[in-house]
Amino acid sequence: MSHADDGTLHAYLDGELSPVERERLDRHLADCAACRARRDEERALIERADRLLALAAPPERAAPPPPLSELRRPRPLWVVRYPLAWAATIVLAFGVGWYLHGLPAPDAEPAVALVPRAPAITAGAARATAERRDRSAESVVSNGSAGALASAATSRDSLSGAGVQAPAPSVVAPQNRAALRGGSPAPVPPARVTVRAADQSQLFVARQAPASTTWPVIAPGPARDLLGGAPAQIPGLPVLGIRRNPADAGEIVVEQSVDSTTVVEVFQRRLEPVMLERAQTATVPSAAPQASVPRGNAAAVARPARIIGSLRVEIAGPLSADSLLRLLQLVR
Amino acid sequence: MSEDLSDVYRTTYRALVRFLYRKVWDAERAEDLAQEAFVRALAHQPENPRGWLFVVAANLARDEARRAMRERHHLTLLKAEAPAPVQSPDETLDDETRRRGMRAALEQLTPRDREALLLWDAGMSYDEIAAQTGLARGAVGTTLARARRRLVEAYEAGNEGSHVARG
Repeated sequence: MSHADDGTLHAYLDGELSPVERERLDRHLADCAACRARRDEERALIERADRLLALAAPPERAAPPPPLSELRRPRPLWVVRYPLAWAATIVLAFGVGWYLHGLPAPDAEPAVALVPRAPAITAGAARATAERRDRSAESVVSNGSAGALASAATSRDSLSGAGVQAPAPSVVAPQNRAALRGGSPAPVPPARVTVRAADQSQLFVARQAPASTTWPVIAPGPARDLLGGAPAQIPGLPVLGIRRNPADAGEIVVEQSVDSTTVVEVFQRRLEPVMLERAQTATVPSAAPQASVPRGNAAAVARPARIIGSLRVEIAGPLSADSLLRLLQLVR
Repeated sequence: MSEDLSDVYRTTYRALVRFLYRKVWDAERAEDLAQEAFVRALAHQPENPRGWLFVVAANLARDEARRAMRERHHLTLLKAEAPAPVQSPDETLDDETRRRGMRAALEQLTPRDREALLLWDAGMSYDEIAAQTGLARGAVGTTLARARRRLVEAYEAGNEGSHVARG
């Protein structure tokens, strides 16, 4: 065998030569002092390089990595929990029933007709509604779309249970929409529904494009320009970044960390004058469907929201509904 | 399948973080990106999760680097707000100097040499490195030999440069 080249020596020292090649090189090294010397040099080089690479290691962290099962999954909830779809359907039926029994107008039947796949419970709910249709609604106004009806029902659900964790809306909303669209002649536009809460602040539950970590990062300066003022944030929590909604030029999100593994997203947009006006009046009308929200966006979720100054602020994060509401109250 | 992935998670997570750290030079970002890669692996269930993870991680790091370039100013601002690490000033300075020297040295390698070296350091075999980088299997040893030599030379040249004015 001729003298070994660098690559062969490194493969040899890395334990990556085949047994045959290795044996051949061993025999050569036994006879060739020059190659033995080079082997030793290369071994020292490898050790040196390894030590240098170790210098560029991230600082050891005390906390172990989160379990794989707890990593944030981007998949929509109802795909992951498909077996729960039946439960969602029942909750949907109750939701529609509950909404309808508060409806002032006597056109409950058409709304029910939009739900062809809902089980018999819906019919029961509709009957109950017919008996009570003289009751008046207090605060919910919709744009008349079935999607808005359903989400209004579920939003009231989550709000009236203030302080109680309410997982139902996020499971139900997409189901509602799918079921409702099935029988609807025209596609249901995403609806924005506003509910006036009892306390001083306005609470909203809205449909939105999903919180996305893929939105482009923007600097604080442009964010301020977009909002016409400093972005709202939760005081005392480190800001991880500010991102802009690529589908909606007016919306940004401030990401803040609650602890090393929990990130809360503070979505915000400047209120359009018309919305601001509506928010300030006692009755809360529905906003026009937002062109920026992609139609049929299946990942739409309900987020607690609040008006702060001229900003409309929504909050999202891997926390219980009441924790999020409490954080939302801290936003300045 | 996901059992496989949880094994890979246990054995490879740290290596993936280290691999990413040498690309983004921010420990937290490296962890975020590593977790992002695993989240994507959960959704895709790739056949060869380890190799797949490193490909995805390399892509994530590249996107990250591009964004960081554009947003350098912004990131600097955020860094200034981050709490200081708990370490003595001397130790921090020393570590930081060496890390910076190492980073500069690593960045002087060609992308392919650097990739091969980082993958080897992350525990990949020559076969895996070949599959990942498109190198012939027989060329991996040569590539690593060159990468190691250049790394050591660049680091030492950088160190001298910091003590002795270059002329």
